[in-house]
Amino acid sequence: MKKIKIFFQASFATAKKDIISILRYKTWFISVLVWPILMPYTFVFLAKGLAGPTNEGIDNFARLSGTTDYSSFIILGNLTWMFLNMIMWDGGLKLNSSRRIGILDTLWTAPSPRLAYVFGSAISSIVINFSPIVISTAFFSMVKIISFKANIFDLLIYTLSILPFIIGFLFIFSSLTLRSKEANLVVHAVRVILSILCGLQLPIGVLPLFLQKISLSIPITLYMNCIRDSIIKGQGISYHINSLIYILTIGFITFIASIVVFKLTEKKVKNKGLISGY
Amino acid sequence: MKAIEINNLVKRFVSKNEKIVALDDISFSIDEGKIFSLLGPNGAGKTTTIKILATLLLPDSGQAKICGYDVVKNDLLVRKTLGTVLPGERTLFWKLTVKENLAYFSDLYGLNPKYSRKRIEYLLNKFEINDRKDTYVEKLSTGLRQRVVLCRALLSDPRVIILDEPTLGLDPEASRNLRNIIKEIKDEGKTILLTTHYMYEADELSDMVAIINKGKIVSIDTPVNLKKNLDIERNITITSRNFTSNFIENIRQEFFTEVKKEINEDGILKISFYLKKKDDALSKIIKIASEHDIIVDNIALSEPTLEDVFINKTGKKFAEIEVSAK
Repeated sequence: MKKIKIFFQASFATAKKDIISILRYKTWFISVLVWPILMPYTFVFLAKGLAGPTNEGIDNFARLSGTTDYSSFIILGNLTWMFLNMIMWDGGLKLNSSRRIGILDTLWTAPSPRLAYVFGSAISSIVINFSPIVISTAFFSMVKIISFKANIFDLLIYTLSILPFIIGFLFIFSSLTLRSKEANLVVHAVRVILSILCGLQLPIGVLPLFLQKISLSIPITLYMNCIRDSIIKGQGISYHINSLIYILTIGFITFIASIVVFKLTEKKVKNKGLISGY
Repeated sequence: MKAIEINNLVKRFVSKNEKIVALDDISFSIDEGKIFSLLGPNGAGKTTTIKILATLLLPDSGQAKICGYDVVKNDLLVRKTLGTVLPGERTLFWKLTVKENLAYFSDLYGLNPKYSRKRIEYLLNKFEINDRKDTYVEKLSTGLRQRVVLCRALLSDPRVIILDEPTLGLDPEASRNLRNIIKEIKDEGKTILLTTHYMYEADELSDMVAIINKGKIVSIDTPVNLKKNLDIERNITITSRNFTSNFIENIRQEFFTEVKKEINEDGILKISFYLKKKDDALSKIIKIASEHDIIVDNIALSEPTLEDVFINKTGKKFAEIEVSAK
């Protein structure tokens, strides 16, 4: 019980520290307020271009994606992907930069579980990156580019259900960072693969059949479908109950496995002396 | 109970297919309430020892205990018992204030918020940085920053404190202030394991000193004993206004040594030579001087320093170590 208490105390303290630190950089409002409004326009204009002068591309798009609302489809895919992306990598990248500047070993001399620093970073990523998503979605709904038909409670349930998978993914990535001391290559490679496979910027119908099968086995694809169907078509949780169970099951397995991986990595790192920045 | 106990500790690393023995069966112990310095050239095994004690590294074999807790089996209890200051500029979060940093680390130690607030207040006052509590760490001088680092190490009121190069990069005044703080910490009954590149610092602070070289403890004793038992030549300088060549020849024959002559700024002659053994050298010199009617203004016999001990045991000067480290 005491271990759990100190884990959460350290995690929330890390999240608070990260949030305070980010807010002290004067440019934070650009990423939180300006960027979420400007950036999605690139996708809207791109989509308009691809639709053709008489929107002749829309029928084809609807056949592949299940909706004619290409703007909502693409904007939601990108916003959600940005949100998940930050949670997936941020904690691992922070771990690596802590090691590089030489503070990681100091943190590891404290008696809190070492996973708490990564979990804390995940909490701060969720808090910091949730607001741009809300701002962006609200703005594009207001200007009628996104047709928002969702129940907010449903969106929260979907988002909470994907978190164990995403945080598990983060723990595994953090373990890899600790082992290899190099993170960027993994980030670039996995990010591209997932963005193609999970249909974040494209309908998965355009993928070869065997890739579509792989795509539908990844919880992020199912989460994306839930979010899009909920916002664009107004479908409730009952339409996606199987997806939700699948996301939670895979998420739970990934989360438990990632804790085991992190613990084993921690031991390996301590054995090889890989923790130090000095 | 010993505050720190190390028995037959071994650690090897493999680098580019080459096996490096970082610690080669070292053993030592530290009594509670003492300051113990670990001195050695770069790569001697100091940092490896400290990392094992701080639970950042696992030993290959042997045992290390802090206040009876095994660093491998009871690592969580060890970290609760220990306050650690590791080297480096960035061991605090620069975008947080002094108080925010200390509050953050209190949470990492699982301290009760009420206790933590009181403890932070107490430490800030004790180390005279209460007026800077709301300053960002990036705006503090290196000396003040190091005081905050010490505050952080003391947050949980640990029984044992590891200080790895605590005065590195500090100006002389800040170093002296920090040394005084270290003495105050010792007066509170804490046990301190110190590593330093500054010999005078180890000499001034330590109850015991261990010299480590190539992963082995080559010498361990009190600073006084280490210097006393050192068998090296000591330099002796005699100043007089009426040296005679017979006197100097007599000295040369008596001590089997070369005698160096020099005229100092006031035009007074000074001779110096090395003695193998101190023994009754002074009384012999005085006797020879009186036989030759020499009026001796001054006799100075250099005592060995801890640096002499270090050079003797490791075969390296600290200056050489600094250069090779760069």
